[in-house]
Amino acid sequence: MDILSYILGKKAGGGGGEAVLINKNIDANGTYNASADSADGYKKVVVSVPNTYAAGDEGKVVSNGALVAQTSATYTSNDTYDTTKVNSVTVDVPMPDMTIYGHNGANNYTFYLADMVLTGDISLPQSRRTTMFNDCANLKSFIWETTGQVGGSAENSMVTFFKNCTALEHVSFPYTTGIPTAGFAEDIILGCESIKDFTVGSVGHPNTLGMGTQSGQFQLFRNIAYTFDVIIYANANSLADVPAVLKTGSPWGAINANIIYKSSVTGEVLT
Amino acid sequence: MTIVPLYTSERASLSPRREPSSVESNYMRLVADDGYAITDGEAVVNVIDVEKEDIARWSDCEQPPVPPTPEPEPSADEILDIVLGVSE
Repeated sequence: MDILSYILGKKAGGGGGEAVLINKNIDANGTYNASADSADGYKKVVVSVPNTYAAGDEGKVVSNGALVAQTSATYTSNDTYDTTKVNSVTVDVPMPDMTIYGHNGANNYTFYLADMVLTGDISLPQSRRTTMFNDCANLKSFIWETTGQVGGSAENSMVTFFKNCTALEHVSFPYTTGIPTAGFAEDIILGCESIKDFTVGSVGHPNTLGMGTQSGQFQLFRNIAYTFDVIIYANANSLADVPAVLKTGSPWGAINANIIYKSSVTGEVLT
Repeated sequence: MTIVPLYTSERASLSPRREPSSVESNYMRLVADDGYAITDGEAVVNVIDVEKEDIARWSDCEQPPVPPTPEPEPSADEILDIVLGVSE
């Protein structure tokens, strides 16, 4: 507060002596008595400057010495932002394209995602797809929502795709058209000793291409003795009605597998 | 070969495990003995599910030698990495 001068009146009954006058700086609300300052001749002074804001200033912040209204903001790239004048922040940073490099035989890396979902199709050379997730010891669940075929050609190769993924329990290709009969998917879960189920198709998405060749060299589950479920969605109403192409080669090398055909309409087990 | 009956239940269409609610199916699982394979004259496998009336079509055979899995051809990117001496 500015310097205030108090002119003190004559001291009542002071006998004609000079009244004591002082200057006083007041910078806070309060009650002041001249006697506290060894002055005389005046009554107390009360300073009460209101410190509330106008209703329209609610939510405003001081910027460059002035009150300004806060606004919302949307950020679409990673950076450091001044949020002083922002009362709402929407972070909408798009996921970057992910480049996946397959196991090249030299690196035994640990895969840190336990549950992985790949959406859509990916284009990778055979050299990258083959052995792609080898030795990914933490991978537990893998869903690939590819709408194309699995295996059957070099560009769709999944040979030893999950080799030695020792924690892998669930593999699913819910939207694939199936695994055709020309190889390139053999030994897909080799060494996956925790595998519980391997699913091809889903309700609304029947497997139409089969589960791979019955030839010994190119079987999906060649010489696998683990007990697990092979779940195949078929456009059928009963086990007898399941298309022959889906039965050819069963159980595709897995000696102890349970074969579960499910209706691609109702999802019920076909018996 | 070993012939394993397959069972049908509410949980599985064809399973080598018998459960209280399962019934024996019309399918059998033929499992090759160690060191052998089984064949119908065309396919050579270690295990196959067949309908009972087709079992006679399958017989033991010598296990064919497994050819080594060919190394996949390097991609153009990999060749470029090799040329440039880039390691991953």
